[in-house]
Amino acid sequence: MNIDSIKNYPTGSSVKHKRKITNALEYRQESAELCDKKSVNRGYSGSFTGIGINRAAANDFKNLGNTFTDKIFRSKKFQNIVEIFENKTVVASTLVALIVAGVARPLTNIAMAGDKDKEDSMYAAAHAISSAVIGFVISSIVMAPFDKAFRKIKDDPKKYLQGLEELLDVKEIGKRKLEKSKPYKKISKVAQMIPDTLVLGVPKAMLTIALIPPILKYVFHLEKGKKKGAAPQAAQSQNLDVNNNAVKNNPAFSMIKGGVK
Amino acid sequence: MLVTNQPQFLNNANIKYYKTAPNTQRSYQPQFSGVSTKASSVIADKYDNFTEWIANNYYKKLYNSKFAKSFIEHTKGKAWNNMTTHMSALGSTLISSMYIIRTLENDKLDHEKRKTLAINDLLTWGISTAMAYLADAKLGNWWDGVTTRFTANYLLDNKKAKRVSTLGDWNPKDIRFMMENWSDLVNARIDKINAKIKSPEYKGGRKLLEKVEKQAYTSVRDFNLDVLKNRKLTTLIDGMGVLKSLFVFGMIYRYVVPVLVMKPANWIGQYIHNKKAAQNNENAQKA
Repeated sequence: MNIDSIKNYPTGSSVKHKRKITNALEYRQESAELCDKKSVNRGYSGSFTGIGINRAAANDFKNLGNTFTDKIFRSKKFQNIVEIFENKTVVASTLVALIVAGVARPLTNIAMAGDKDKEDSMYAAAHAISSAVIGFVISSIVMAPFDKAFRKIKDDPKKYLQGLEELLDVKEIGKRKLEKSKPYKKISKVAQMIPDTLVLGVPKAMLTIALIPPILKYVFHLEKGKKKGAAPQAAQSQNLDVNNNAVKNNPAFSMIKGGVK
Repeated sequence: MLVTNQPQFLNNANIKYYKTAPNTQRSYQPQFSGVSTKASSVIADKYDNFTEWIANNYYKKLYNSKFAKSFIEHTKGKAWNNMTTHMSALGSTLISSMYIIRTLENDKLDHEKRKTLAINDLLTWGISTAMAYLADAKLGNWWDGVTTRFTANYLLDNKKAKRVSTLGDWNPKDIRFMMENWSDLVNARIDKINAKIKSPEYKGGRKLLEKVEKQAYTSVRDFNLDVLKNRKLTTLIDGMGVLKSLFVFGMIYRYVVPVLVMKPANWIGQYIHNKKAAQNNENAQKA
């Protein structure tokens, strides 16, 4: 329900209610009158236009704005990151990969490694970091023009989406109307992610595989051939980390390790 | 060989020029930066044209395509509301499929080994995907609460977004109460003007009242769309949803399964492997 449809609802004298109330003071006066009149406000009182805000005590956010989480939520940096997640979803997904596969996983692997496989864990960590960084850089570069183009659609939908009212389930094409359209939301997310998921996904994985050895050599000074018992869990690609680790680490498959390399 | 004569470009006239006319040098610098600005503006224009081309030839065509029509027709259910999860799963499916096919086509492995590896890949993908969907769904309600709190925090710092002019001053900590009791608020407003609305002959009024009776928001996004009408807040609320889904899928695919599941699985595998080896040794010694 639209609050504006109520605030401009016709009442009393027809002359008065034809005029759209735009003055904030009028609203406040109206609200104040409403609060004073017990028969009308149903006994509610409080700062909020007749609603008994005291009743909200059990349901409110205590210490809002003061907890550690609230401070993060209120920071402009966090809000900018959240905006990136919506407007540049592909870049955001590689950012997540960078944090999870490039930082958290290597640290956990090193921490969990015994003395025997310390060296292997270091190699795997370097491999994971390289893979995550390459994925992030490639996606950021390739997706930048796509994200800017999508921004254009979002900012001026009339220019690009005219005639799609029925398909997108809106009365007319407009920024605010489209915000409420579920079909628009769904197809937009697909459109945003298709270039990476369907088009770039596999070539990016291939490129990552090709770029990892030189990065390991020149950045981390690690070479697979020179290393004794190179890390079996060094995966071939970002998403394949799961699969390859499963295979190469598993003693059940130790007999066929060489074939996969 | 020592060069005693100054080169031509360092003759007195030139030196005098630079020493006595510092203003000239200064006036030259903006000209230089002007060239650079012009170059960068040309690049910016070209880039803008390129993005315009993408908007027209990719996005516009996609929205107008048969695929879009068919996609929208087939994804009307609630299960399709969060496309971020489905696209993440699709990406993982494609890459896993590619590796499964590569494994099956690997001539260096014999047929049985290829099959075993492919099944292993398939199972790992299936378990990861199922876990990711399950975790994403389980965290849904909790994350809605987090998003509502995030919204309340945003409203604390952005008083304009509270729509004080329409709603009066209110405390963002009461946002959940407002969402849940919105019908009371609206009714209170209507009571002021109820004479006409509640009259039996006024059909629009009755319809409005019926709507209001049911009015309560469980989703802060809907509350923002209908009541607060803040576009930036809509983007942020949507961004929070995407953040949750991407972190859940990223954590399961790249952390939980490879580290927290595979490591213990390896330890168990190693234990069984060692036990079997010991048994084999015993059997061999006996024989």
